[in-house]
Amino acid sequence: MRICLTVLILLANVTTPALGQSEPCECDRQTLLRNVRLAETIFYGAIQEANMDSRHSRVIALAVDIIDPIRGQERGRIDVKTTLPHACGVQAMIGNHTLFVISQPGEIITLCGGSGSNHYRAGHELDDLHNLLYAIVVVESAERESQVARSWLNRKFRKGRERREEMEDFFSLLGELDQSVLITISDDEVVYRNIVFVFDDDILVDYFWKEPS
Amino acid sequence: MRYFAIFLAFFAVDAVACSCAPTDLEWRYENSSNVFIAVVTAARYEDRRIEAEFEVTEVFKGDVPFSVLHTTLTGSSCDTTISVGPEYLFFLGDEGLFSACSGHQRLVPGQPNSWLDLLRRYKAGQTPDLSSPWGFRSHDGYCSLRTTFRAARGAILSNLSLEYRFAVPDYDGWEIEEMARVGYARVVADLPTRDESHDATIQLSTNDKTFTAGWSENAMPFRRRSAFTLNGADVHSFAEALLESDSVRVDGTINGYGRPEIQGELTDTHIRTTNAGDSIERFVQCMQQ
Repeated sequence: MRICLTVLILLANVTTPALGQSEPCECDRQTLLRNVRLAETIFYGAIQEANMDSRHSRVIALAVDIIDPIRGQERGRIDVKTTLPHACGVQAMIGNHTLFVISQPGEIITLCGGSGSNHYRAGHELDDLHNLLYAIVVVESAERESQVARSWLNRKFRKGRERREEMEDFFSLLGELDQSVLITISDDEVVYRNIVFVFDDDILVDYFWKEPS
Repeated sequence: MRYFAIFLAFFAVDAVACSCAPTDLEWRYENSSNVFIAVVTAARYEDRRIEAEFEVTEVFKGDVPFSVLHTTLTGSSCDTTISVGPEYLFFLGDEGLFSACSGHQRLVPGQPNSWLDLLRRYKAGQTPDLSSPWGFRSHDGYCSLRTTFRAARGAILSNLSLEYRFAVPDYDGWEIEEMARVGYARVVADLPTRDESHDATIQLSTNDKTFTAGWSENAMPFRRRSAFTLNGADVHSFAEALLESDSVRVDGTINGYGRPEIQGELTDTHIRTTNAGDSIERFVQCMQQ
C-alpha cells in the first residue's frame, strides 16, 4: 500500500505539478484524534464515483468500496460526503485509496476529522499524522485480530531497517488513540498492550505478540 | 472492481516506468485542438473506464466539442485518474480522451502557474507566441538566466542556462576542493544527449555573433552532469548579444547515443526571447556588479 500511494504521488506529480501545495488546513491535532477515538465508522476504501451538483457546489458525494473495514462496517459500497479540496475535503480522486473516519451517518467528512490519505494530508501541512492509518489499525486490532495488525505493521515497518526515531510518532499516536493503556518504553523495547517492539542500536529488529500474563 | 485492483497494482509496480515525452506549452498548444480550464464535477469508474463530467470556465483554443472526459485503463503503467472538485488546465483532442501523457494540470487557487499566465497573455494579445519564458534568479552571490527550448525537430526538450557566480557563499560543510571551483561564468546548453565525443561542439548564434560551446563532462560543479558549455568572457558577450536579439539559433551535430530519434543535426532550432521580459537585462546587470 505504501508503494502504491507513493506511486500515486509520483503520477499525480507528472500531471498535476501543484498537488501537495494546497492551502494548509487549520486542524487541531487533539480534536482530530478525539474524533478518531469516538468515530462510529472507520474503514480504508477506494473511491469509485464522485459527484458535485455543479461547480459551485460545496460538497462532493462519494461512492466508496470498503476494502478494509476497521470499525463498524462490513465490506461493500458506502455513500460518503466530503467538502471541496480547498476546504480540507478528502481528495475525490477516482481509485484513490483513503482512510475514512465517520463520526455519525450523514456526516460531511474532512481531513480535520481524521479522514484522508497520507500524501494528501501532508499537502495540507498535516504530515505529522503520516502514521495515523497504521496506528488506528493497530489500536483496533491488536488484541482481537492480531493477524490484521501484523499484516499492516508488515506493510509499514521493516525489521532491520526502520529507525526508532521514525517510529516515535507512531508510538505517540498509539498512546493518544488508546488512552486506556500505558505504553512502556525502555532503551531496547517499546510495549503496547501485548505487542513488543524490539530495537537494537535504535533499529527495529523485531516485533511480536507476547503471551498474556 | 477486480480490474481496478489490478490497475492499482500496476501503479504500484510500474508507474515510474511510464515515460511521457517532455514538452513545453507551445508544443502542447499546437498539438491539442482544445485547450481549456474546467472544473471536474463528477467522475466514475466502470468497466475499465473512467468517465468525468466537467464545466468549462475558460477556453484558450477550440470549441470543446465533447461533454465527457474519459480514459480507458489498459493495465499499463501509463494509466491515470482524475479528481472531482479542482480546476484543471486541459490539452485535449476532439474526443475528450485524457491520459497520463496528455499534460493536464491541476490548478490550485491562489498559486501561480506560469503556463496559465502565458496562455492568458497570449489570448489577450500581450505576447505574439507561446515560446518558453526566461527566468532570472539571484541569490548568495549567484545569478542565473534559464529557459527551455525544443531541439532536434521538436523531439527533445532542452534547457539553456546562463550562470554567473561572483562570490563564494558562506556555506557550512563545503569541501575545500568544491570551494575552489566556485566563481565562474558560463552558458550551458543542456541537451539530453550523452557521451558526445570530446571535440563535439554546437554553435549558438544571435543576430550578428556566433559562439561555440564545447562538450564538457561534469560541466556543473557539485553535480555530475555533462552538457555543451560556453565559458569565461564569451558569456558576457553572449548575454549582451541576447539583449539585441530576438532569438538564439542552435546549430551542430549531436550523436544522441541511445536516442536514435534525436541523432543528427540541430538545425531549425531557435530559442526565442519573446517571453523573456526583463530577465536578460537583469542578468546582464547582475554580471556587471
